[in-house]
Amino acid sequence: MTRRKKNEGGGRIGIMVSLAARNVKRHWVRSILASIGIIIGVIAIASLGMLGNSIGLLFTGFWADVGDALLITPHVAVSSGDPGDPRNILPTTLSERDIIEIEKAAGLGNRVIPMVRSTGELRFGNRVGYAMLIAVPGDDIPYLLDTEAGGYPRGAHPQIMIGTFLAEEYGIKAGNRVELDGTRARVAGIVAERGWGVDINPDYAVIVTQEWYERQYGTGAFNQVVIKVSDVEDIPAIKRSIDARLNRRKETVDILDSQEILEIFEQTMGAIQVLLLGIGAVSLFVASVSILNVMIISVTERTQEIGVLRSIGTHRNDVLLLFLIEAAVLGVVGSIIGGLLSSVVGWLISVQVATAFDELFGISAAFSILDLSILGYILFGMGFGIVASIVAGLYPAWKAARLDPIEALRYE
Amino acid sequence: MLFVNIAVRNLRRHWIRSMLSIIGIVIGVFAIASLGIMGNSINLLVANVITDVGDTLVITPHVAVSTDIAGDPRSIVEASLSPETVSRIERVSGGNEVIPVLQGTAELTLGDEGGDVRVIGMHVDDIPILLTIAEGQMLRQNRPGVLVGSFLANEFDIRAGSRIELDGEGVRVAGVLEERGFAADINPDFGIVVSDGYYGDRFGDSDAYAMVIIKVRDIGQIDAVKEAVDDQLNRREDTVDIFDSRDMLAMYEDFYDQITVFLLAIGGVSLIIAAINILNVMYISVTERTHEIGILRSIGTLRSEILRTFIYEAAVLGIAGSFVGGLFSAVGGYAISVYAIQAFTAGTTFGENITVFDATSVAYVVFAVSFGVGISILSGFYPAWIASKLTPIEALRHD
Repeated sequence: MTRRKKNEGGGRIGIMVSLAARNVKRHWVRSILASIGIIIGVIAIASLGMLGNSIGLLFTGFWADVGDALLITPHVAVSSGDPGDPRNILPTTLSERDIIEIEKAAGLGNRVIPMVRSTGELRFGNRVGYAMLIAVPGDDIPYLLDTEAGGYPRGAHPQIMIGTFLAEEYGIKAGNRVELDGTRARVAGIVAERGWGVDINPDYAVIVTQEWYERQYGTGAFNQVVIKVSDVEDIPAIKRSIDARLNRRKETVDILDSQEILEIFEQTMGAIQVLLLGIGAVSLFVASVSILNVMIISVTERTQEIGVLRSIGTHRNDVLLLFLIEAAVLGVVGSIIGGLLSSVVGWLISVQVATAFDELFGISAAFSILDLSILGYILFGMGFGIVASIVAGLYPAWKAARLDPIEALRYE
Repeated sequence: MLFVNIAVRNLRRHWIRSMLSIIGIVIGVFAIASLGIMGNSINLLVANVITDVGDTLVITPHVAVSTDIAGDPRSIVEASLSPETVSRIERVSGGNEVIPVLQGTAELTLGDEGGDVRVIGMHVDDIPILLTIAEGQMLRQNRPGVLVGSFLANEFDIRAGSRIELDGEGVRVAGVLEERGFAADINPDFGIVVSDGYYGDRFGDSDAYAMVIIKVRDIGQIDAVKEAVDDQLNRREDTVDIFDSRDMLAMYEDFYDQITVFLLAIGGVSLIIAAINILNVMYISVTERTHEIGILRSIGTLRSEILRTFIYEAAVLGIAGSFVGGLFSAVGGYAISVYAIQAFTAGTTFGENITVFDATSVAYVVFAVSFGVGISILSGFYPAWIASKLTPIEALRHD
């Protein structure tokens, strides 16, 4: 008995779907136009989602993911607040006393790495030019940098490391001999690409050991100190401790927290994403208004037909369902076509943006378009399209279901 | 006028579908105008940050490798050019202003506040060529005094006539500079400008120039000067990098254009969907009113008059929607711009005291309204044309 009822139910839905499909086909021009709206809307929302995703990936590639570092530099009188603003990077130094205080504040278990930022003239073959020179105590280098080729320089030996873009430009390989400010040195290794980092930016630089630097240049005043914390939770406490030790009477150091910067970055990315999806949703909203419109017109036109259906015993709910299915058919067809097209459009937009970024910021876009999240955006767009269409069909369907059979039959 | 009245009457009769069509246009116009305004705000923001120096060559010691971005912190080097290099540049500059710039740092103290600041040293005669003062006086030869950048002056409330301490020694502030923004050559907003003599006495080597700026009087000459310097100094091996400030401007303009086109295009998408909606509704109208059209034609109404009636209908929808949308977007565009600028500049001082509304923003609203009206009329054309082509007899028979 139950089984039969269920079958009847299935058959009823089947009949309704074919009825709805027939109605959609009968007025094919308006159906196609309404679906085009949904198609464009789904493309807009999915492509903009993908675009936001690509922008995020581009920036992530540009940023070294350092979430566990504090950067301590001599206090700058006034700064713009942007950690990468070149106008606020000054070649000033920290005193020995400052470094000792910082070490005390950092506590045990957190690595304190003082660094020298300077400039050296690099000569290799017939190429010569100035490069950023970063001196780091030999033991600390492996904690900061990964190698792309070769190994790390040790102690006071005349060994250096070269940043990936510098090595690429000059064609330097691990094991080569170069001249740095007139002194011959062996390239121990090439530093792997790192992107923009809070702590150290080796991509265009020469890295030497602090020991060798001191022997070579006689001085070793540090420009900055990086603290690598073993537990990210400790960052606020260390910050407070440094502030208390060094900035009590007078501000002597600025403290930059990589965690904070990552958060700001994520916030910015999130805002861009919301903005783009919001803009995409607006088009889809307009498209659903279009469906609402077409469905209302349909209900008005077919008032008499509804009257006939009701008088031969069709239930209110069935009339409601019939119109909802019609709206859903428009939405499903539009969304599927839109989803298919958006994989193409989204890819084109992302490539366009990657090219623009490359031209502008010199970031090589190494992201893959076959990211799973892209499929996610397409499915999201399609889902949004279908739901918006069904929601748009609700009011007309409800209106149709509420019609009084007698009145409806009399309607012209 | 009669046909306009008929059109309005028809729209009123089916007021729900008319309203819904208008809503589509309202949203579309709103989207396009707001996004245009947002693009413009981004432009204003960037223009506020970047100084418009289009006639300058900046010559710096040759860097082994760098990105194309002026001032990329990853490739900052503190190398210098010798006086000999400067005189070689002067020799080929073709009579244009050659300005050697010294750059160092000093510790600024003001009571118990202070910190490190950038110090820029130039010949006193060169300073007015590059910088303007907001208050006080320019520096004069053999007179002590310094100029303070606008952000620095703001932060510490420094005025012309104030006394500050640089590296432990007191000096009088002759003037405060006007805000300059990010530039390809010098960035004094956060720093201090002094005469080259004073720089040499106090802050460092006055023979080691960080850069040489050439102000080219005739923009047409800029390439020739560039080539001459390149020829003079980079013949055997590269010793200097020559940066053309026009490149930075061109890059920025290109970027801005792309953003604006992109934003307008995605705003346009909603408007196109709205226009398709109008097309759809008008098309349905024509089908419904085939019989009515037959009657009109048989009592002598001309084809062109039928065409006009339907186009008027589309136009009324478009005009109503566009104007309402235009009004909304004036408010909404402002709100979106404020939100966007806050999001983009989170954590920095860049977005402060910026106006997001100017004549260009108004132009975007006007553009969006006309675009909305135009595309609505356009989408009315096809249904109107179909209506006008109906044969009277066939139309009368239709039910």
